[in-house]
Amino acid sequence: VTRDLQRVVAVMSRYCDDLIPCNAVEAASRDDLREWERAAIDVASALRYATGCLRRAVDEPGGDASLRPGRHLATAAEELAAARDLLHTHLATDPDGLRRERSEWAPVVTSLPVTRALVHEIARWSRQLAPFTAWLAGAEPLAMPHAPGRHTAAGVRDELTNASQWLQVAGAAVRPALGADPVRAADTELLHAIPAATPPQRRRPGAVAESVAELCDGIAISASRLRAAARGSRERAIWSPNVTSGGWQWIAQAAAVTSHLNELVLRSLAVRVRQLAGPGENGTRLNAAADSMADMRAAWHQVDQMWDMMITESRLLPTLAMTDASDLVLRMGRLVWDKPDWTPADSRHATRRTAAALAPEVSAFAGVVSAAHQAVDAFARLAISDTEAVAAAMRAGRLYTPTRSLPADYNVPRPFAPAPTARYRALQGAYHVALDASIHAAHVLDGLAIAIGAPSRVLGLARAAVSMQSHRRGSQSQIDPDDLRSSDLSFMHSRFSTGVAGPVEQAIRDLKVDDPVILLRAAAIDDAARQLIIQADNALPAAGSSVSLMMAQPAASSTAQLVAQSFPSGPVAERPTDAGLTPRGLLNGQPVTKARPRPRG
Amino acid sequence: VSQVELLRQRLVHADGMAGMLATGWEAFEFVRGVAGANADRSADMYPAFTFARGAAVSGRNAIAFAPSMPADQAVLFESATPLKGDVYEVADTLADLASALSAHLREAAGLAGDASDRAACEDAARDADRITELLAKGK
Repeated sequence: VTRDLQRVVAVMSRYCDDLIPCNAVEAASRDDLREWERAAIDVASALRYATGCLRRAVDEPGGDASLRPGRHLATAAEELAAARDLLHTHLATDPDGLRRERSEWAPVVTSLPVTRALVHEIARWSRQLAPFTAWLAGAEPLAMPHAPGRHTAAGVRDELTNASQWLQVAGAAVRPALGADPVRAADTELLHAIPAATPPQRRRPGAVAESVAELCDGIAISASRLRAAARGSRERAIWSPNVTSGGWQWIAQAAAVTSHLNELVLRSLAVRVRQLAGPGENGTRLNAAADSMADMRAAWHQVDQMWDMMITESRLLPTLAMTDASDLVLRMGRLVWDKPDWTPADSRHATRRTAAALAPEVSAFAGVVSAAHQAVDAFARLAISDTEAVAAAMRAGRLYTPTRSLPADYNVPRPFAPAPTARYRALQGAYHVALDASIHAAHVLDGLAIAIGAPSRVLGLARAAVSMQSHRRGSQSQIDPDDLRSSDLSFMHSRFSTGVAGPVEQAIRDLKVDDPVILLRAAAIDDAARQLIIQADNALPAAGSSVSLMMAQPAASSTAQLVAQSFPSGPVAERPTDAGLTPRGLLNGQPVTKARPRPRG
Repeated sequence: VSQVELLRQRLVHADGMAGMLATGWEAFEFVRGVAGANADRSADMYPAFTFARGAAVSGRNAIAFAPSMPADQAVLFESATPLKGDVYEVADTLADLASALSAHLREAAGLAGDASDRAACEDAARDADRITELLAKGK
């Protein structure tokens, strides 16, 4: 028992060592540490002492004697160690000792909410183990008959008593933090939702009919694999001939089609809500989510069109992302149409799945919304990674245009010419619009998923959590605002992610509230306000005459200033610093309009 | 004579590999323009038209890689007049054109003296087949 107990406490101690930013001595001179970071340091110190006491108890003759097999403790030690290993799959340490992120969940692992939940759990276990350890110290017979004698048993007893006291100290060390900053249910939920960094196995869509629930599960798997496939695409775009214009264009088409199918699914759910009248949703929120899908589709459609006149030195080579996006599109289509083997070629022959068949009862809503949410989140991530990858390809001189598509005054005696800067700017502009639309749609679905308790709500919680990074050993100093579009930081791309909150979110933070759900709502309000200001800006009279020009310009300028001041983390301010090539909402010199005619349903 | 019929006639009477490639380019461009213009007309047909448009771009680009492809400027169909008829009739028309395009490209591939020309024609023919598969009514 004592040996197994020592293993459990040692693993708990290692968890805390992962969480602490510095040792207790250094912590005394730092004023930037939060309550939970100080709690982690105190718990870690106490557990280190407890582990030492237990190790000495085990080393004492007769100290490892068993009252009965400590099977539960041994299992707990193994499972805790395995769980810690899984958390570590998201992080790697480079030769300089700095921590590197290996998945989009890495900043969630190092976030304050997860730190809070983990320290709280460890302190709770410490409190559970303290009385057990004390009982063990007093248990008879402590030593087996062959033990050398009472003196040795007393040594073991002393060490166990000390260990029990240190465990009590560890359990009590979180009280100040709990008082100042209570642990939320969402923190623990987020901790439990962190998957391993390895993407799930592909589940190939076959001709065999899948139920709605199976389709939704398959979509979540494809989305997870898509997020993983996006990693490192910026680097690959520079050198890999397998990364092609055809691949990027196909992903844009898949994103547009997925957005369209999502819109149909969400509108169908909105109809079903009205039929069932009672899942806490009156359809308004679902229709709003469907509207955001329409905007996302239009934006990705623009990206698709921009690729018509651009090409890489290789035309089209299949990628992992294309395979997973293809699976996702097929299953989304099979949710919309009542045809088990639906493909895009079947659209004119298939009948739509009825709203009642899509969600026979209220409990089915969460799964379907989750599927839509997962798909949007994955394409939002691809929007980030593809935007960066295309920029990298342009810098590497990999983008060309067919000479035949150039105006007659381009006299190029070859079939391909380097892509004109204007075309690249238009392409990048389209990507940025798609990125903004995808992130906005992901936020809308974050809110919807949290409101109805869909399994995918952890995506929203994760997006909110990453803005609150805890200090850790080996971490880079806080988030670098210039690197916010890094494809390695999926969840960073949110209203919260820049570390510079909007006015409502800031006001909430000033109240010392860091509940992820409340912050999500605050950021959504910031988003809505920003969009309203932009809409109002667009509604200003056109500058047709000199008089209107004089009237309009100062107003537009001041509005832009207001947006910049009020929403420093907004998409406009978040643009990658891409050598000044990024147009602001201009495609080929024409204003980019998100709103496009929707397909007639 | 409709644009579709004109393209069909030009495919039939294309002069040599260069002529076939140039006409193939224009046919794919036409499909791209029309499919893009019609995608928003029907929620049900949006996926098919979107991927058909993509296949047209892919086929056109495949042709562009052929060594015999003339480097002169081509007609673009950015503002192609939408075909008359409902969205399904448009899909049928494009599917028929793509089917004819595929047949001519395969024929050209069989006659090609240059391996790269042959590969380009075969790649483009596969994209034309994909357009037919996506848009044809008979399934």
